Amino acid sequence: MKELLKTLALECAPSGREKAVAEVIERTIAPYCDSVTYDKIGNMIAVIKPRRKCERVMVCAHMDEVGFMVRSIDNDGRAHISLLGEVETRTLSGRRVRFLDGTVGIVSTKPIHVMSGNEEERPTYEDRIYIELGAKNRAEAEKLVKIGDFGTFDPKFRPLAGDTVAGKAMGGRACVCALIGLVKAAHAAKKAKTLTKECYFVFSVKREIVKRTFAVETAAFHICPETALILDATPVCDYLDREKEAEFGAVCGGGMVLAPADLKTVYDRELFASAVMLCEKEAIPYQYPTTASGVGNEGGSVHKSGIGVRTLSVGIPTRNLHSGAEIIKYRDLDAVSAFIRKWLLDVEG
Amino acid sequence: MMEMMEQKELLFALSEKMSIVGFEAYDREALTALIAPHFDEHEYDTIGNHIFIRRCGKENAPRVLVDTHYDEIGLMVKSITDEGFLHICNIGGVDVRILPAAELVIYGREPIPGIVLTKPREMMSKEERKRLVPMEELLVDIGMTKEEAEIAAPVGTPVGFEPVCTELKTGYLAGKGFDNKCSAAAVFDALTSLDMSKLSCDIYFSMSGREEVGHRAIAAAVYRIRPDMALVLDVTFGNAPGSEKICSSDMRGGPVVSLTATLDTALTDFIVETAKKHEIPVQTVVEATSTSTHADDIYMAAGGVPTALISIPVWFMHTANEMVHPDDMRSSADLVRAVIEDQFGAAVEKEEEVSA
Amino acid sequence: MFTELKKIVMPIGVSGDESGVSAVIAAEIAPYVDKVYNDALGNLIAFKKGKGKKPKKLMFAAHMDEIGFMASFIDEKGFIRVSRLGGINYTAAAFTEVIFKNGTKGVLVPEARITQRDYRPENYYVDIGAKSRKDAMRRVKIGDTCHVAPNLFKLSGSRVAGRPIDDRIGCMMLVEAAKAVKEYENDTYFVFTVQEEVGVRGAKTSAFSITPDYAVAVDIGGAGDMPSCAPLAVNLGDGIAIKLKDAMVICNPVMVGMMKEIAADRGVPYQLEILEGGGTDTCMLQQAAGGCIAGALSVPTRYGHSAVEVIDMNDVAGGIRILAGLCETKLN
Repeated sequence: MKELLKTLALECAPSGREKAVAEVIERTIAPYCDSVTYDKIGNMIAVIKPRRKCERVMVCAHMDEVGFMVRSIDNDGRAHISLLGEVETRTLSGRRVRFLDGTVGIVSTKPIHVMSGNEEERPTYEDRIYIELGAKNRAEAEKLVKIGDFGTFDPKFRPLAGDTVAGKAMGGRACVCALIGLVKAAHAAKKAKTLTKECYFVFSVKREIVKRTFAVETAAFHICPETALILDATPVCDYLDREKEAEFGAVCGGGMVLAPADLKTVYDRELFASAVMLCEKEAIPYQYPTTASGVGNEGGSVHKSGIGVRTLSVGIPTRNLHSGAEIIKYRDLDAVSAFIRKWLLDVEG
Repeated sequence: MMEMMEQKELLFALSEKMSIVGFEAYDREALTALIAPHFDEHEYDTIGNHIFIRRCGKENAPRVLVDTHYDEIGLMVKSITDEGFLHICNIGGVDVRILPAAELVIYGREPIPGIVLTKPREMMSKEERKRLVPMEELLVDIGMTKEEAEIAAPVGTPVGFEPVCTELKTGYLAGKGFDNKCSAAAVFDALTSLDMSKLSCDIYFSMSGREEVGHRAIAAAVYRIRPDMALVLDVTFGNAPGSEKICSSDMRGGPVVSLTATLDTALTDFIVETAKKHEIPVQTVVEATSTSTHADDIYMAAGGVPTALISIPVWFMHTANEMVHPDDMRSSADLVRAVIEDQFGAAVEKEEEVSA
Repeated sequence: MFTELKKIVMPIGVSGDESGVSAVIAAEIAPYVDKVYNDALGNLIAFKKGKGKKPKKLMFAAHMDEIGFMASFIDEKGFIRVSRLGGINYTAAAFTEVIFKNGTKGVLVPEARITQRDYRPENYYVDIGAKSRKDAMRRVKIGDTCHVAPNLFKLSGSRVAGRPIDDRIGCMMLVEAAKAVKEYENDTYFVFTVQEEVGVRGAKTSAFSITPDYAVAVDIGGAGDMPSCAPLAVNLGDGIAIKLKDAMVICNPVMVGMMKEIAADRGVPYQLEILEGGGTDTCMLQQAAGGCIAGALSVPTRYGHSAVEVIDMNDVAGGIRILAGLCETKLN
């Protein structure tokens, strides 16, 4: 699984340009699925279902990550950008970024020596930064990047001590990784004739640039599932202010995050309660999210799509979410993997 | 003749070496192995200075010192929290604004990777979002418990940016510690390509330490060497938005010679003339009363040394991705080589010209 | 009518967890319709077949959820932190009795050193009198919902106060309308929606599955007759309000006209409501699936989202007559 996670983490898939990750996923899961198709806006839908008709369950994880687009190139050959998604802007300055064709640039930092007023005391913001490509002028820069080109943080797979690993988009990719594992397990269940649900695995696009509805809604529209499970990274801030436990509830390494509700969804009462019971019974480590972190995920669109979908959400606690170095622990990924197998297929992880 | 390293390869190799100010000895042997074979003699003193020497073989030859500091800014483990996270403090001028989510290496017994933690935006209040998190509130995640961390990364352990060197499509090089290892790579190129038999001076190449915390070591080296002339190579600011407020120079504009009242004006003029003569691109910058480099210190050390300063323009100084263009490094090497040859090899050169 | 309302006001039904109130309403309305069922999100749908060939589909929606709280964290001493569900007025919610779904009682209080000016959700906690985390967890689990204690009492004349009148009054009006209708001209769906207070969610899915031709939401509205309140040409007791617009919808003039006509025919006093802020199920009814002709009735209400919401039962009675009138009108 680490190898797969590494492969996924090293691909770049800013919202709207998910192809690189989609290809890895499709290559990996195609042999196990009844079908793998894409809906009209790019969500990948993989299906594994038994012969007879039964409950339709949709499990989704998003393929995309935060990134940026080139907005303009100035006469000095500097590329100015618009952000895709909630990039942690304070982590941008001085970092390597990569365009989809592999072109590398460095995000500017103003030397302390040239700052005025209280600039030194403020974090850097996107309106004052640009990407330095080293081009002499606009013409040279335009040979390297065009207006509208997509980019992301420089991909990296950086294991820390123990079971910790860091890199851009690591939280989201870990969810993709767990979902791929579930696809394989569902295939095995089908062969063993123990599959009791019509399984729809959705690898969604454009999750990070949500405005009103998540792009995954179109997949839900086609599938019309009765039940849905959303996998996503959960931001945690478990290293500051331990006294304010209420605010910083979930911790990295504390197991999968099971949210009763967030700002976009009140998760189905029965699904939530039975998920808690399942974790208790199977001794799968689980925890509740922070109250402050519940800004919501794709569940917000899925649960109210069509005639309504009973929805549950499971998260992988992630430090430094939306930065160039997100941090997760394998044990949390393992917990999520174990849970979703047991939940969907009633098999051991 | 040993296989000569390209400037780029040497710069990348030097960048990888850990030489955080105060901990210059960490990769001492690796650095020695990289440079010393190309010189006649090597000394390492007690305060972090490497001196590499090439001799011309003539008695009482004048001594030329070419100095590039090779120490770099960094951080240090200040304390360890109960959860095993590291508090850090800086050694030298690290800009705290580039630290959130920065990739670090903790140089304990074994180098350990670490990541600076940053609070998710959605958990910040409006006031917090506008505020820069000061160094003392930043924490580094190394994936260890407190007990493990106390052994692997005890308080006082130096911490640096992860070395990742990149060549951009425009030819620019980006990485950490290029301040001032790009100068070292250029000078190495210049000095190792000199034909010592045609020169009438001994060459002392000092890769000096402790520059970033107040130029603490160079005077001692000068005291021991007693040079007759010194060239200092350091980095300077490349032009960028907002940089007009300080003395900055064009990237790819060639080496920058400092015009200043604090250093030897005759030597400075000679360098500019030499550049013109050899058609080496060169720029000048006025730093009237102070250059804030080792040049100021060497000039006044050990009874006084005629000294001049040549700088290589870089972008994003003191970050993990300082940028330099190889053309500027190459021209700097050409200039150093030309200055030494014109000053100490004039007779030989003229003879050659005649015979040709 | 007070008794009927009280029956529907008392059960708990915080957004996303409406099963308690749903069961009560289902029992109330079942005798008067053909079919009663809940959908995936929990919307309660009561269906009554209309007469004739291919009757049009008419949908009424009143949300049965109420604002409330969800336990999100229990500290070592057994104090419970709660997330809000819906637009809580924290000044009004300070120092109130709260009740969890399983009957556990507690009090909702701000931290001691917080001044009223700085009331924020994260500074509030529920004290259920527990001695420790373990003790508290025996009675309350993370994810459990609670609400400010329900209440309903009579003021002078036809006026009534309490909570959650938003929007149990609408639910009660649908039930009463179902009782009052003599003959259904249209296929009629009485929908008691879920999760209105957290973003008009239940209306979207129920309207998608029903695909009505006409739809009317019934909810509380504003009133403009209190001391130094924002101007609004709606007075308590001057009749039910027919919504023209709110922040999320502009009502279909066809529906507005139809309701005005019925009111005039049946001698029901009415007012017109133009609400600057807020929204109701109407917006989702109008745009769900292929869209439909939608409007809304608003019960003029003072002090919405507090524990002392005030209405006039005469307005309510008029509203019921308009709803019944719609059922008895053949729609094309």
